[in-house]
Amino acid sequence: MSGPDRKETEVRRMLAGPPPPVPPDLAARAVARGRRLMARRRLLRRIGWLFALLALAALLTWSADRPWLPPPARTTPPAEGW
Amino acid sequence: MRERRWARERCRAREFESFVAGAAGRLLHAAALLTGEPDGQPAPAAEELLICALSRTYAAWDRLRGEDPYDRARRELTAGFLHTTRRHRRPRGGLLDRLPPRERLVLVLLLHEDVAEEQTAAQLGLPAERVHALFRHAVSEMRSSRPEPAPAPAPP
Repeated sequence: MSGPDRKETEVRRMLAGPPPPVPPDLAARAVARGRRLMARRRLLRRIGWLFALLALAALLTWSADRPWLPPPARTTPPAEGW
Repeated sequence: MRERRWARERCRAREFESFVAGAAGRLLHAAALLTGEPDGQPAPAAEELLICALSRTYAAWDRLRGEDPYDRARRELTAGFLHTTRRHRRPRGGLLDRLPPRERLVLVLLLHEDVAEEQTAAQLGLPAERVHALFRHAVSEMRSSRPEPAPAPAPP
């Protein structure tokens, strides 16, 4: 039972070496990149909304004169002799 | 409206920076183990990986909804590493150099970060038995390859 645990502890100890030094501007760089990421996402979201609204406007103008109704019949024979 | 956004942004940056001040050391160590860079030295590849993960954490800061930011940053780090494993295959003189990237990841998550095996499996998209096998293999490989901690050679 203690075999695997002992091995794990051994490797755990190997992993616990001296950590690399943290550069002082790490947080600032992450914030700057995070802001760029958010700005890009905001832009993409706005473009998406713009396209959705354009599609809706196109649908409304197309449907304004009800193109699904059959065209008025022009071939009705003249009604004479009544 | 614009002023409120600025105020929120400053507040978020302050919170985020205090989080990074506490967590960066541990996360950077994990990242350096993943990229296979030697202990105790500046690790540019690990910094790049970590900054990418932290920036995504920052972008999601307002939508964390009670999730621990450290867990989120670690998940982003894992995902980022899985995306770029090909870049980290080449040995850099670090401790986990001779392990393939996925075994490094399993070893770091389980032993350095103390993540549960099931959670690791879920994040890697592998069955738990597979993760267990990768872990066993990585542990035995580490013990056979390094009987004692050798001094890490400096990269050229």
